[in-house]
Amino acid sequence: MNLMIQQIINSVGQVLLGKEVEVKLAVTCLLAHGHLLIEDLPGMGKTTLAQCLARVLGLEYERVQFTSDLLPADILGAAIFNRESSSFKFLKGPIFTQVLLADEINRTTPKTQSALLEAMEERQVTIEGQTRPLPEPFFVIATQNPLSQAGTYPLPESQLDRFLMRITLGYPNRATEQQLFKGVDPRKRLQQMEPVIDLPKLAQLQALVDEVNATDQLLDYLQRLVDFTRSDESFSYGLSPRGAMAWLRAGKAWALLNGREHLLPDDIQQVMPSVVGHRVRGVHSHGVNGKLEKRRSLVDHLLTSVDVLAAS
Amino acid sequence: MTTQSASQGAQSYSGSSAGKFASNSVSRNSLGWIFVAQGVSILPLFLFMPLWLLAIWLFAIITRIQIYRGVWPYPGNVLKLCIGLAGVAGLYWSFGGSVSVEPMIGFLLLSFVLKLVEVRRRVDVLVVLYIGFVAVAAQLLLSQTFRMSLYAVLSCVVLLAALQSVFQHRALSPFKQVRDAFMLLLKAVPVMLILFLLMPRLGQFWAVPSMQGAAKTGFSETMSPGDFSRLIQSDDIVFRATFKTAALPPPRERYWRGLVMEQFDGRRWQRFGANWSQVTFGARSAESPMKEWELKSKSDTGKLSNLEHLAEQDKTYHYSVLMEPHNYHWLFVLMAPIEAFSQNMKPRFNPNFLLVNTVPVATRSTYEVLSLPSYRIGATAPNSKQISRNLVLPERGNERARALAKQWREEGARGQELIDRALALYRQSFTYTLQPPQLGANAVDEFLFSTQRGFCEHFASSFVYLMRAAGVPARVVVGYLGGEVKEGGYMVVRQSDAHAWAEVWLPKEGWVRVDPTSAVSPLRIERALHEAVGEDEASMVGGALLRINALRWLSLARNKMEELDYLWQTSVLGYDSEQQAGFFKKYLGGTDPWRLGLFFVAGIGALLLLYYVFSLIKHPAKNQAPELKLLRQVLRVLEKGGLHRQPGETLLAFNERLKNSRPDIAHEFGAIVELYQQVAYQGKNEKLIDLHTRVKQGFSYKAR
Repeated sequence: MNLMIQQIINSVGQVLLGKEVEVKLAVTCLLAHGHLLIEDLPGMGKTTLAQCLARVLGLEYERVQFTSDLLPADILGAAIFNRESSSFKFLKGPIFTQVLLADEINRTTPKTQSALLEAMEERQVTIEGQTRPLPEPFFVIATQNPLSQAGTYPLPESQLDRFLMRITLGYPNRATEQQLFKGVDPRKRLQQMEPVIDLPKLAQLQALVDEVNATDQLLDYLQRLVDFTRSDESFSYGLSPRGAMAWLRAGKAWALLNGREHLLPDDIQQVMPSVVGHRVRGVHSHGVNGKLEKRRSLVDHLLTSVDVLAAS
Repeated sequence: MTTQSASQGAQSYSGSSAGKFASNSVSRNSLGWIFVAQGVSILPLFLFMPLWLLAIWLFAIITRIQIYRGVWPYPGNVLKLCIGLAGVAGLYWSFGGSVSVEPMIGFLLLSFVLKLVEVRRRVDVLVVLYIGFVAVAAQLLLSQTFRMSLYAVLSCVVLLAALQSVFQHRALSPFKQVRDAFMLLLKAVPVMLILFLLMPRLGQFWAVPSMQGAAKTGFSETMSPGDFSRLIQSDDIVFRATFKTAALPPPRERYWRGLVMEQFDGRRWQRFGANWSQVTFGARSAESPMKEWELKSKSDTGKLSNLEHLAEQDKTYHYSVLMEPHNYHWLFVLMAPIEAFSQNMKPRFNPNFLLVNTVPVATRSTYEVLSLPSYRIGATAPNSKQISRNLVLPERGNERARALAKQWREEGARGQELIDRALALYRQSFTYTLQPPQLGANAVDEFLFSTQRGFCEHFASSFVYLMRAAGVPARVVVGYLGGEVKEGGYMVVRQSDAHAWAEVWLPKEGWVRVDPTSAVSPLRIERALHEAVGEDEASMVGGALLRINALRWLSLARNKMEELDYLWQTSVLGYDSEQQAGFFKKYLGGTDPWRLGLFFVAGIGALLLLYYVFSLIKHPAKNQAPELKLLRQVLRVLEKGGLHRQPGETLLAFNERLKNSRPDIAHEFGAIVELYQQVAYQGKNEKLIDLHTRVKQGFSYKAR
């Protein structure tokens, strides 16, 4: 089992050089049944990572480029009148897939962004009064540009909360960059990529995540962390129960990824920035969509203020 | 585009400077709180201050708001100086350049409100709010009623709430903030009580200088027809008397003497002496009756027997009077005063058997008096000057009255018979009314022979005139008649109880009180004024409307308030060193320093213990897991060696750190961490024994 996970990470790592931690986080997110938001400047490899993941997992995927004139129907699908049979026929949109690559999600209007709300949380879509289930599994991997860029619409909190994780990639380091220059174009490698696991195995892995053991002491630590976001003055609002559950699940997946069947405080801490960062807002208004450093310092504040060990 | 420009704006404050800016500048929330807190703490001061200060305050608020909105800049130093100087000049002009408490408070108020335009940073907010507490103290300097004390507490609550708002990052609802401040104050109450009971009462270091232009209340040094009808429209309390002797004087004995008037110009009575001479002229210490009074007990014709003896036989009234400031010298006593004493005043007796204070009574004060109800005064050795000036009449005017008196005298009437004749005259056809007709220059004649309708001052004035014309020394006494007995056993006397009566000197009898009003309206003597006059006139008496009409609950509420005020004054403001000693004796068994010390320490200690116990009950200690206890032992050992784990640091991370700094310990510690994690995070409880042995096997030694 462990080998399989390692293989996934290695495969992606071959395309996305020098980003082990980010790749691990992304895989963690998928194992934890969560949607992933990748935020960074253009050209940092967001789309590459998303495509890699879809390929490696051997899932059917669709890519939607979000633009400012995109409409909900473009994603969800629409009923079209068929003249021959004199009836409406529903044409499925790109959302009916296993992995949806929502590229540059914040370039579109809030109206279209919201089309994803139901799909992401309940894994179904309701069009013209009819509810249709989405395929299983269903992942949304979205990429977005930092908000300071021109022509972006910030995602509403409700939408952000539906992403289990938000990760950033950042510039590659020197060695990696040089390797990039010398090596094969990542795009070519991407096309050569083969699926590492199949659907049943993925389901098996996802089931294992739920098996990871979290003791009372650990849950106590997690609860104190969550409580801190709700009571401390530097947070203008705290983590929701959904956010707290997501955190626990992400931690479990991270533990599994590290070959453990029990959760350690370290797991909780290591997924903290990507799980908590987009769900809380600091008082001084560098909120969920605020600048990166601000979010970091808020998460750091949380990390350093809550004692790992229960109070004596 | 808007998002872009906003984000660019945000970028101009980078990193830490933005945080500093936020923490230093005054937020909208705390600015609002300053306005409210300042307003609450200075509002009552405006009752005593010129109103243009209010305008300056509003100006300061508007300026500060405009500064906040970025419309106006902060005023420059020159402008501020100009405004300040103008304010000081205005104060000088308003108070006529006098140096007393009020201009000083005015100055405080001026600087307080002007400080508002200077509030730039959070530190300034603190300064303004601290001055607010001084303003609260100034409130109490100007008025010390129960209501004002309540208001002062309220001001403190609002100020505290405002202080809290300065330190808050998140805006709370105002209600919650005020409630928090109130709870804060409430927690301080027990300590405040202990300090109140225990701190030495040093008495007054300084007296509050008399207020400039403070309104004089009650009757004045002169009495013309119509004065009293105006006076009795007021319902204000003049004084309260608490009797320490068991029996209260019966209603017909409740004549509270205030001032004696001996000079008459045909229409107006006034006290004897030039205008510049004080009523205190010739007054002497009130420790014992003046010798020239010739005061004797009525029962035994000899010397006044010793006071203790009289007191034992309950022949005296011992009472303390709490009087409202009236800004005159005179105090009120029942006849005949034997002894008077006060802690915060200097009462003296004057030759007219009056009790006077050396300075006008400008604050609420208390004095105690011992009075002898059955007395004989000034009988044996008449003061010839006093007798002769009480026979003087104006040279002309009021001829008919003069003639009538002369006629009585020629018919052989003397002394008591003259009095009886005069009273009989009143009884014939006179009417007691609150609406007497206007009287001209010959007021006495007009009253006696044509209008025959009058109020107490008409009767007293004409009676004394008749007596003097008939050769009997007589004078007018003004004061209060009556007193409403309250549940607490004390008596309340109001302005509506104002009364004027006469005193007549008879040989062998001395000075005798005669109340001509009683001849016309006996009810007035027995009951309160509003019950004595007709229904149509009763409404003219102050407060009567409330007492008799449907607004009874309002009068009840007001009575309750007056009662509370009295209690507040006697038990809180009046808590002096004597009462303190009494308290110590009663509850601590003595005034030894060790008792006080013990009470102080034990009292505060008990409170702290109470808080502690309460917090224990509220937040009970959790049962610590055994593995955590063991781990903490290890961590303590490491801490002694200077190796501290940060709160947010996991054990693994800590061990990693140790590997770099103290590899010798890291190995051993790593094993313990491994075991601990197995127990705590893997649920392998069986490993607890291993952990136990590991820890007990002397990790401590290795750490050193």
